[in-house]
Amino acid sequence: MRWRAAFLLLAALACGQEPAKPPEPPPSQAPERPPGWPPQHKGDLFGKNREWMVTKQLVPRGISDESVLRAMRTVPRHSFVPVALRGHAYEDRPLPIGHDQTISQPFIVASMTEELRLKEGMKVLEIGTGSGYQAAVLAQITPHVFTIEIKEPLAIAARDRLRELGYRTVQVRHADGYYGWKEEAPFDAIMVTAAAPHVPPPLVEQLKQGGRLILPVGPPLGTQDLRLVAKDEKGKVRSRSLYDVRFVPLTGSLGEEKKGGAGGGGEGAKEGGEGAGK
Amino acid sequence: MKATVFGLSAAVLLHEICLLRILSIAYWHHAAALVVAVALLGFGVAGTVLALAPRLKAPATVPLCAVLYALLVAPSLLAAGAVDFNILEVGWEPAQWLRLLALEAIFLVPFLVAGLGINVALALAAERPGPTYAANLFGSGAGSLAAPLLLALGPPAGVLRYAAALAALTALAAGPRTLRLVSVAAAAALPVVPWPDLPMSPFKDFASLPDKREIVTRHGSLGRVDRAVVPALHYAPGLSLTSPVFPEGQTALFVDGHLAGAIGGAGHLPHTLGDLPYRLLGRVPERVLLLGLGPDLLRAMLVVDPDRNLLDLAGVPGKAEEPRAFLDRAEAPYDLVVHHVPSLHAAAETPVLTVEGLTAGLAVAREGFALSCALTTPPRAGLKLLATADLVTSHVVAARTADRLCVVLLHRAPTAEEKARVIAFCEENGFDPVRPADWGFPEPFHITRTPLAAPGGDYPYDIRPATDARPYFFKFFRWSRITDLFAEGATTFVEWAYVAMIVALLEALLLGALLMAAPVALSRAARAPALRFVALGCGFMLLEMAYLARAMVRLEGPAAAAAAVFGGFLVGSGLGSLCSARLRHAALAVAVLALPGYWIMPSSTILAAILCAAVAFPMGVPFPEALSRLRPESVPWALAWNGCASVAAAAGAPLLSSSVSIPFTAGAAALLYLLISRR
Repeated sequence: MRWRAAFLLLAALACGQEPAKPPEPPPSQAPERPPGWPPQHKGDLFGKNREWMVTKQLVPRGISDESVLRAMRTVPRHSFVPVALRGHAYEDRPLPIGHDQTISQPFIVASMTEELRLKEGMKVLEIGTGSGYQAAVLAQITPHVFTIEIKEPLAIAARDRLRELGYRTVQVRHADGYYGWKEEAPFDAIMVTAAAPHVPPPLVEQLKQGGRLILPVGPPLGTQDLRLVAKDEKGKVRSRSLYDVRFVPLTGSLGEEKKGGAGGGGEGAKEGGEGAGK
Repeated sequence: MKATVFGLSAAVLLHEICLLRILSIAYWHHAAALVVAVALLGFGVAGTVLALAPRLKAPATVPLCAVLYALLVAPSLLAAGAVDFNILEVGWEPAQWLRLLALEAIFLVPFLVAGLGINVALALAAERPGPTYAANLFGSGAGSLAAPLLLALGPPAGVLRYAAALAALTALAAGPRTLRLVSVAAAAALPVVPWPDLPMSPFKDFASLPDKREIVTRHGSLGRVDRAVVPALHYAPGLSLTSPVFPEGQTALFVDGHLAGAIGGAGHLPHTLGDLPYRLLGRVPERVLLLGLGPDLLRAMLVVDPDRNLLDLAGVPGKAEEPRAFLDRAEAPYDLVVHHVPSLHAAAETPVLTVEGLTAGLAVAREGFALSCALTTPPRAGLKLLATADLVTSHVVAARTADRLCVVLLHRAPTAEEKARVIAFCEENGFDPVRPADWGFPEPFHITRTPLAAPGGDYPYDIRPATDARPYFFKFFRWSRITDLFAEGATTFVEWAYVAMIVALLEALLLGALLMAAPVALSRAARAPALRFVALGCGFMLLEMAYLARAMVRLEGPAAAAAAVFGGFLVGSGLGSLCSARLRHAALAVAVLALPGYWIMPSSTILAAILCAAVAFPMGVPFPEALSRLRPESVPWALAWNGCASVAAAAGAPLLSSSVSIPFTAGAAALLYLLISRR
């Protein structure tokens, strides 16, 4: 009798229970971060300068994206300017880096980065590596950064500098930026840091649906219109004027070895990538 | 002595024109005009120097100044080359202002020396200055007529060596033996020694585009034209964001270093905004007239541009003529007239872009007149073009990208089929229809910060349509907004070319005032001739500049206009000064003739030159007549007043004409001569 009672008791208990759930699968794997990414820069002497730059130049002007602010606080901007100018690295202006190129004003770097609405894991193309600073800022947010520089000495120097500073995921190419980087397309975001007479259609073509392209459009040595080009989910392309800036011309070709075209030309303008008008 | 004055005057005018060309190539046009305007103050300074150093008033001074001037021309170019001036930085780099002053001072020196020689000759002939003044005017006229011919032979710096050699040679006519030997040696050496030139700014299109090859260069009075194959070039104004074809393999054309257009690699044209008139019509018509260069060169039956060199290097069938003059004289109609508006400086006369010009273009076009222009932020040219088109016809079709506008003027309302074609064209390529207003898409492709809508009264730019009386399409500056110059972010929005013109005038006035202030305060001899000679200097230059602006609208081109006006004025006034002793009421005659002469200016160069000579004949009288009545110690001051006033008036005339109108400038000159006639 006892075993029948126990069985009946167990059966009664079982009837009041939820049906047994199948076993939980193991938790899905989060996308793997490349080793050593994002690079950390601790202990340099310019941490306070970067904090000052963020709190005095960027936040008051409306930069609010935390990932952008974090990137600007982290990337050692002084490592991207000539030694003689390191004392000015965090000032609110562009600085010359040689070869008639400049590193953009910090606000411009932050503002253009913020407009791209980058998330970790996105793929971004930069035209106009220059010193590599902008690429480094992008690479603090997402590891998948591809950058093109038309001037070979700058491309080589930027590549070496980025590697030394731990930005090993950034790929630098010496090439004609007008045609983008077909092999790695499409991109979630594209940034051009040199003035272009028009929006290069190859770059629009290499933009993913839902992607954003930002570039200064206008005469090379006057004021350009900073423009955001967005491709929606249906592939329709629209542009929006943001504000006035000044950038160096989108010059370039690789000479006669490759089929020519205009390419990226560095970062910022001699006069400065000023955020005029914003 | 008169031969020396003639030769020196010719050399100086040739120098002035060559310097304007040299500086326009090296820098930008408004910088060139600024530097030359102030450099010419050297003539005013010469008068003051002569007044303060009366011992210079000796016959030997004239040929000595001629030789010294000849020897200073090359060093002035060398010294200028050492000044690292970049006009693009004047908005925020104070050091650039100092460099600008340095350039002006450098170029002022040779003009001061030449001015001293001419002023000494006039002072020595003060009792009967007419023939010497005539030699000065005839020489200047000869220099101005020779300039376009010589500039066609080679770079302007090279032409300058002949001006210097001519000046050196003039000393043969009047100098002592030693000086004559130096004169001959200089005249022989100057044409053959290595001659300096100013390099083109590295920021100009031609200098900054890399890997240029097959470069061909031609020089002319209208500019230096370069043609080059530039792999880096992707010239495609109004290109669709989604164009499947990119401009490649283009040959670029540059004028004074600025990119003027490109030929070759035209596969992308159907995806540019400039294709709008062709899509509207549904075909490429047979008779397309292109005014100036444009991407659709190969579609044109005829291209009209004032610059023969540009047409030759573009390799297109062309007519070297001012497009407006061509339209006014065109006999056969064309199916479509097209004009791609270039970006010009504020003081550039733009006869095609006036209300009368657009009317003339539409009259010649059977189907339509299409114009395209760049759009800036805030919009200026686009708004002005639409406002002008609206005054010409009520049938306008227009579309835009973010930075380009195309406007097609029609004789009649577009048909339903034409509308369908335009809408499809715009949808395919991501363009936004602008006119008719109800053709616009509910969700535009291009969102800009300031739309192309008719703005309110306090718009920061002057967008009133240009007219033949005020043919300055690119004059957007508003005097009521002058305080914007000092606002934050001003470097972005200010019309710097116009500001440069204002600065030139202010510098001329300030320097002139500084030169004259102390003498005027201390010396009665300095005060005596002031009003009359300032009025004479201003009146002559204002009238001459007004007639030049009018001739730019009426005649075949800038070279014809300059030849007719400068040649006519200088020869006519020279003849008048020869007869100055016998003529009365000359100033009154000028006051009476000034405005009618302006209005009846014919379109023939020769007839225009005759008209200018006729109006200028009495203009040659008042100056020598007034000079002959002065006390000897007042003569140099009179020359100083006259020199400074002439320069200020030359700088102020374009401002007056573009801010009010050209007839107003001519009227102001007439009023000055009327005042002179009353004293």
